[in-house]
Amino acid sequence: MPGTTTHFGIRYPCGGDTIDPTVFANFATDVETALTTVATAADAATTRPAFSVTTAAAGVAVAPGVPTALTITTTDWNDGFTVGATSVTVNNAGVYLVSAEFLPQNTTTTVTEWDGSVAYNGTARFTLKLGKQGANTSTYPINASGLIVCAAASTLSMIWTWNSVGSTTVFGRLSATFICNP
Amino acid sequence: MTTIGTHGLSCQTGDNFASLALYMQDEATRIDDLLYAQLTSLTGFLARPTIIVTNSANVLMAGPDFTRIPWDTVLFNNSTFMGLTNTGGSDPRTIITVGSRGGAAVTVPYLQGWYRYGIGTRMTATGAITAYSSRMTQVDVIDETNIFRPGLGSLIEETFDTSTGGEAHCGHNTFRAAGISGIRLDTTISNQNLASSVNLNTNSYLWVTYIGPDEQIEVA
Repeated sequence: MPGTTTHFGIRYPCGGDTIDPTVFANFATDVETALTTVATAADAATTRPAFSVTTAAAGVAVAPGVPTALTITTTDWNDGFTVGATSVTVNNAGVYLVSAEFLPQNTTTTVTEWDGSVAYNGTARFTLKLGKQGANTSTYPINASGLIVCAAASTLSMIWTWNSVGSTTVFGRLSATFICNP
Repeated sequence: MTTIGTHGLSCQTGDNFASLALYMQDEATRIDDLLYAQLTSLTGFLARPTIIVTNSANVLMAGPDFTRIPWDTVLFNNSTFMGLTNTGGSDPRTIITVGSRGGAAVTVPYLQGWYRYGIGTRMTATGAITAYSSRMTQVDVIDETNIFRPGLGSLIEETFDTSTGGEAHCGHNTFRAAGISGIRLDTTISNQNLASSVNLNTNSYLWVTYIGPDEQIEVA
């Protein structure tokens, strides 16, 4: 009656067993299976899901006072996500460090505030808002980021809001990196 | 038998076929233990200690004033040494503790190394707004077990309300845990709004995640 090891169930002969080629084949097969399990874990540890996407380089036009999920144009890299028109779908549940960068490109003097958010399932989760004082054309980049527990099939997006007169444009980059299992 | 390599495995020598079964059992057990140790290490890498907390109720501040953020809900915590604690005492507040709380017996020592922490808040005036009045969010990382390094760092976000929709802050930073226990993350919000009081909205977030030990930090 062969015995088996504790964790991977590697079969080995016991006293009184007939040791024939099958015994060696089982041993080798079980070691191979164990190695495959460890290799899979190694792949998961070293190839953690991540993505980075951006809007068009020229920016996205956004009407004033309307929270807008920015349109994604370019995928810099993508490992483990599905990139959509205005959001990225998480395929592997986990805790992610999600970051959104915004670079306003307006040249008007009418902007009074900027508001950039990382959104989870369409709702702003981490936001940075800057008020602008004075009628000038200065712009300031915004970075909004934080840890989010993401369910499989959930979505991440970058939402931009500003108050101004007339439409203005903003460039955005959304990225996420896997932190840990949920 | 002859030992081969550096992992304690061996090979049969001579004609001692009677010991073959025992040899294979020994080899199987050693291989099993070695691979399981690797598997545990690799899966542990995907379970880096992390905690995320939030607040379920608005917090009303007079204007101008400051207050502690009353974190009351643990959204996620896969660690054995981080938690949400109410300090009690004359200045009660809820804090994230890394390791056991300072002054208490060390029952849950932390992992030494580097941590990343961050916060997200949103504050909204209840009425009139003093234009461009300050809103501030502050996280202080404090090691009160060591008089030589009581403050490990802080994260401060300040913006100025322009009268619509409130103010929102977020940011993150790192700290190094080089002791055993007793680190806390203390959070404060403040406002300089003279015209009305200010609410800290629900669903603010405070989080901490372990990056790794010092010796695994590589500088290119």
